[in-house]
Amino acid sequence: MSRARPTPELLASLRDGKGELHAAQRELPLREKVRQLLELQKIDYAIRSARGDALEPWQKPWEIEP
Amino acid sequence: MSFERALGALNELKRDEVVSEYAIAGALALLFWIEPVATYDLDVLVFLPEASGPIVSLAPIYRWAERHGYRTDKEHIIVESLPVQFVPAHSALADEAIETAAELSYGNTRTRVVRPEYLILLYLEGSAATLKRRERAAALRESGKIDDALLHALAQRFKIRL
Repeated sequence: MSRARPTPELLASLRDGKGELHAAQRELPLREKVRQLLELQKIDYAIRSARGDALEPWQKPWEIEP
Repeated sequence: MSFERALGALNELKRDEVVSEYAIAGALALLFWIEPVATYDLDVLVFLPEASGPIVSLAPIYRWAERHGYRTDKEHIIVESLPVQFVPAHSALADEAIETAAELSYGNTRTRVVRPEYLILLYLEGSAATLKRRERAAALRESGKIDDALLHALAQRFKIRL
């Protein structure tokens, strides 16, 4: 039995949605982007630390306000 | 400590004539043009004053950092808790990237940021074009914020393959 697949239209719509999300992200105020960067750093640091990556001492989330 | 204060410190560096000009490059510059990507340091392209002589030395920047109580960590200077790498302009492309940088505001602080067309070419320049850098160049190109005619003209002039 073959697996049901999404239609090309659905896939296109999902891709468009992603494109819209990225476009909205690009237009955010700078301070919000810095806040997001600080969050990204925390996530990235947690993943890399858990994975046992060798990190330089300076490769850690910044302790600053956006 | 705040991001804005770190940007302000770059202006102080110029005001104190330790560098004659600067422009933010690298992943942090992306934030000004597209979406933020995870990064832990701030790359700053700099022109050192002519008086520094033909041999490039970052010693004046390290001395400035010491005077301001900023510690160093290998090749980084920790400015307001941000690891900053100061990179003297290494090519004609880098020169022009600094000269044509956009003057932008963050809060009440003005700062200079390499324009996206130059960022793309810096990412693709020579042996520096790792997969990660190519990916960032592609993200900029797909952002719809690029002057394509300018990008192609620059690529041709600096002999960089897009």
